[in-house]
Amino acid sequence: MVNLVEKVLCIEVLEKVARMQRFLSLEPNIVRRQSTEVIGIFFTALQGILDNLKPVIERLVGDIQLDSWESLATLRRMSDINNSMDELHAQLQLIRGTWLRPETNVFVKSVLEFIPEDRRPQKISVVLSNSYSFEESDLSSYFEYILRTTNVRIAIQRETPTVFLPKIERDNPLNWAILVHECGHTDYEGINTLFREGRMIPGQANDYTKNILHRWAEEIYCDIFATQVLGPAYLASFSTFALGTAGAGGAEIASETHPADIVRICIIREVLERNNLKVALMEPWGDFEDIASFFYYVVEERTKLDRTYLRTVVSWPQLPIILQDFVDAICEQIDELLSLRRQLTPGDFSRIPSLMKRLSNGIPISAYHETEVAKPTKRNSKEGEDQVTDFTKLKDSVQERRTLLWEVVNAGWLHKIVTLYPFAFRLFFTSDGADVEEKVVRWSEELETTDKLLLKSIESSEIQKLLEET
Amino acid sequence: MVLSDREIVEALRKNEITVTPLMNAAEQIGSSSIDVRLGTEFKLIRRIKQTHFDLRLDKDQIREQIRDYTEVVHIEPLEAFVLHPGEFALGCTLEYIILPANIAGRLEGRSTWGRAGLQVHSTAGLIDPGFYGVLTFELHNLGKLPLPLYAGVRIAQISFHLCNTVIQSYAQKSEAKYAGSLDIRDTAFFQEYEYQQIRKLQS
Repeated sequence: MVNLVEKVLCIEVLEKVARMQRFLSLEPNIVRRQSTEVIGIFFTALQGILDNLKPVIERLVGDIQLDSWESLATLRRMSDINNSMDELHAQLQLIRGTWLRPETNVFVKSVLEFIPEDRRPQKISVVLSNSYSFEESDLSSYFEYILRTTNVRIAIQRETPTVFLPKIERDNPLNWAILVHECGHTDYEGINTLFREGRMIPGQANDYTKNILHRWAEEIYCDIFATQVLGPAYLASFSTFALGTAGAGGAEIASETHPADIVRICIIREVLERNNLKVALMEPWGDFEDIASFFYYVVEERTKLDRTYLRTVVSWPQLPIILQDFVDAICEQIDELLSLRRQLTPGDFSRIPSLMKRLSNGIPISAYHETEVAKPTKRNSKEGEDQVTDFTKLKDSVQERRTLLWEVVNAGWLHKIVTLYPFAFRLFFTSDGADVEEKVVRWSEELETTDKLLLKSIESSEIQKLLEET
Repeated sequence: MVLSDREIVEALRKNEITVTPLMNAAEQIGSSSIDVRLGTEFKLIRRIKQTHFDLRLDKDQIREQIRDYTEVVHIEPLEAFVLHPGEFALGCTLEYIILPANIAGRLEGRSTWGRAGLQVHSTAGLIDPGFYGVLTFELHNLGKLPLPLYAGVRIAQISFHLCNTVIQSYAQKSEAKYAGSLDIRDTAFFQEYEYQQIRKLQS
């Protein structure tokens, strides 16, 4: 695929534009509009952002391979535009009264079940956030902190943990995958157990490094948690997020709180490989074995360009050397820390391709037919009672089993890669004289249909589960 | 000919009919019908801002007017949607339905709920051959007491009627406004040619 990385990033930025347009067009009782003028200013700004994207789209039309310098310039430009979207997203604070979808609570509740019962928080609050970032916070401590700055001292008992979801991701279960990482942060006991184990922090590290490694360990713990819960879908979602924020070596820059994105992606990929958790790709992506290798390639290619042209990639002294031991120690312990009965196995992925086909045909995937089908009963059976018994078996044969959360999300990501990306590539990077604005509307419609399919699947699957439990 | 339980099961097995999710086949498949469940989305009529539908407006304006006229409510599993006496609301099936070109469907209420005063459709119970999507309920509480409705509850049933294969199935019709729906779609009467003509003559 010519200019694959550039195209994927461009489509992801266009998705953000389409999602913000849709968010601003939500029904008045969902987004309580303070004035249509405010909404109008947002739309004007989005049009401006689209105008900035148009030259980039035009450059990618016609499948002419960009040289590496031009490629870097194109990616940098798109990173700037992506950043502008994030800045605009922060201004959604001006629009009040947006409510959360019930499916989000269902999603988070299902994720919590992966934390062993004795350590599981009873509930997690999900809040729609103005800033385009996924975060977890203990609001009690935060409120104590901000009031302390005004010389008012209060003490709040630790309340329900809160995770933040960007407003424009309100309807997008594919990116709720990152919420799974944030839910991992609420497993305070699991994280503390990890720290208590002496093996985790290498002995040769100094105090400063140890302090950083503690913070990193928590992030990596949550990455591994999300990978164990969702499999490759987490890598896919995290990669598109990392690709959007990458710029000037961004994916390779670590901070005191987070390891570099590329390091995290390597770790996630390693966990997937260790457990042989793969969702195979199909045409038109014959060059890539599975979802993980596709996204690893996309982010790695992006960072390679920075390495080539920046020359000085920022890194933390010492840390890369001891990182491998550190990751090994975490991986070893996490198997014990997570609820084993809930971990994914390679066999679990067998249904994903058929679920993906149903999505492509516009059918929700809350349930599936089991392969084993009872034999039909003879119609002329003389034994009336036997006939009823056999018919009950026959009825059972059409009964559907509910799909699980990770099946829905992985099938969704497979659908996005196999069906939606090629659709968007054809739509935006083929010269047909149509306006980019019209194309964004069509892209938005496709995304909305996929969102609805996945939301319906999550909701129906949960209802089935509740009815089965009773 | 109305399909019997055995014929319904056979049609499901052969994928001629799709009703998904089919959560509890033993309970849902009756002698000549399949029970369907209530979904989580509802639309209520909001009268505060509207006096009437103004047909002289163009399609987009009417669509906007209808959006203002209805209020979307999503309920969580185990949360009740309370339909008060005399109230009307749109709801939808939890199930996604696909019918072939030679089977029509008929949506009916279940007597359990009928006795409590719940009407699941006011007038539009026929499902054309070739239809696919979720079905919309036109819910009306005809009783004297509020009815708490929960998602996943079996409030209606579909019977299936064999017919000769139609030449043009529902989805192939140029006027098919509700094909492939995954949630409640608002009325789209203004798209029909009669209204277009009325608008044209009035302007």
